[in-house]
Amino acid sequence: MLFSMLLLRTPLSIEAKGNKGYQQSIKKEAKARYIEEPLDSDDLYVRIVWFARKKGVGPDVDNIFKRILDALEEIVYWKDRQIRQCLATRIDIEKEYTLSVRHIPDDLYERLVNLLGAWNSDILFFEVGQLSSQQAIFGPIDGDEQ
Amino acid sequence: MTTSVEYLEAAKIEEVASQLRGEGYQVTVSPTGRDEGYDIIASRGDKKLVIEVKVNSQLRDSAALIKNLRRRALDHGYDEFRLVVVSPPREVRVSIEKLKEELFKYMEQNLSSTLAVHSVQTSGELGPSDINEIRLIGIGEIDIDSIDITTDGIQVVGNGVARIEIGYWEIEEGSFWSAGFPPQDDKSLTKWRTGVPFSFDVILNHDLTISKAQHIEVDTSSFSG
Repeated sequence: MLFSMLLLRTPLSIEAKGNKGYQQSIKKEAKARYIEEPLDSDDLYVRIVWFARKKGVGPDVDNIFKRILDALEEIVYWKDRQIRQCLATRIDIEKEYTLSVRHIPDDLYERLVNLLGAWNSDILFFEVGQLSSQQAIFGPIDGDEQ
Repeated sequence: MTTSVEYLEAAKIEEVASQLRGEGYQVTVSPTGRDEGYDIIASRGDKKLVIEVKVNSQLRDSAALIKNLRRRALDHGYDEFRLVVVSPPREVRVSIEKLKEELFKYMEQNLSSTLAVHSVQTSGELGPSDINEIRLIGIGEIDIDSIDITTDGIQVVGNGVARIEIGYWEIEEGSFWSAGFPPQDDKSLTKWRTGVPFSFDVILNHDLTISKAQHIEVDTSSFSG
């Protein structure tokens, strides 16, 4: 993983009005976490995990990509066309869930666990990384394939 | 004493362990030695997992501990550290002033209609013809299932426990039923107190008195069969 960050808020849909503040808040946090030159690779993935406090509240998960990907332009990568794979997940934290993370830094992991326990607002986690190959994977998207 | 949090975590640990065994993993719950502190370790082939179970309300206080467990697991060569977060059912606190007293008053006044005495003829159990009297002596442990507030009143549905006193004619072993039974002498009447569940569906006025009981039933099946 090349970049990861947390943001305490509900994501905005691409259709939502007044998204300037939303994108500014993403940019501000991204700049604080990523001080290097934007990535040049054309083989990047983006993972978005939205920890939603209240079930059924907020935009459809398929509508949250664009604003986030645009906001990270010229900070983490130059253009969103460098992204070849995206995955957005909504976790309703009122229900049971599993965190299965290997690569995020210890400090970010601790902060995430801490925030999940605080239960104050929605939490957005973004991750940008390098794809190691071109793979078309079929079948269940979660779970432990046997 | 086991708290509800400990109980919830222990139940989930067992559930996850069982699920992993079903997936073909070798599972150890609460391992000792080098792996002490993890809730579960599991391995299948070359894959080795650590699983930690936490109740949501404990996450904040446990964040540093969980971070350290994760770091230790990864440093010790485990492939994955899974944190399973469980949420207890959300409790909503509801109380209605004098509901207990109102229900008691209503049930006492309408005792015969609220009691559902089931007939049994099995030897050793009480049948309706054995019972001389049933007296309501108290109610408690009221749980409210739902409240609907409208301009017409407040509908409250729930359940509780009714304390009742049962007076019955004791039949001595070897006695036979006869035309003269039960005896009219009160001295042979035996009294027994017990708690039985009851359910209710009542409409309260806005002064919280019962205006209508749509349903109140004391379930006496535990003593009458």
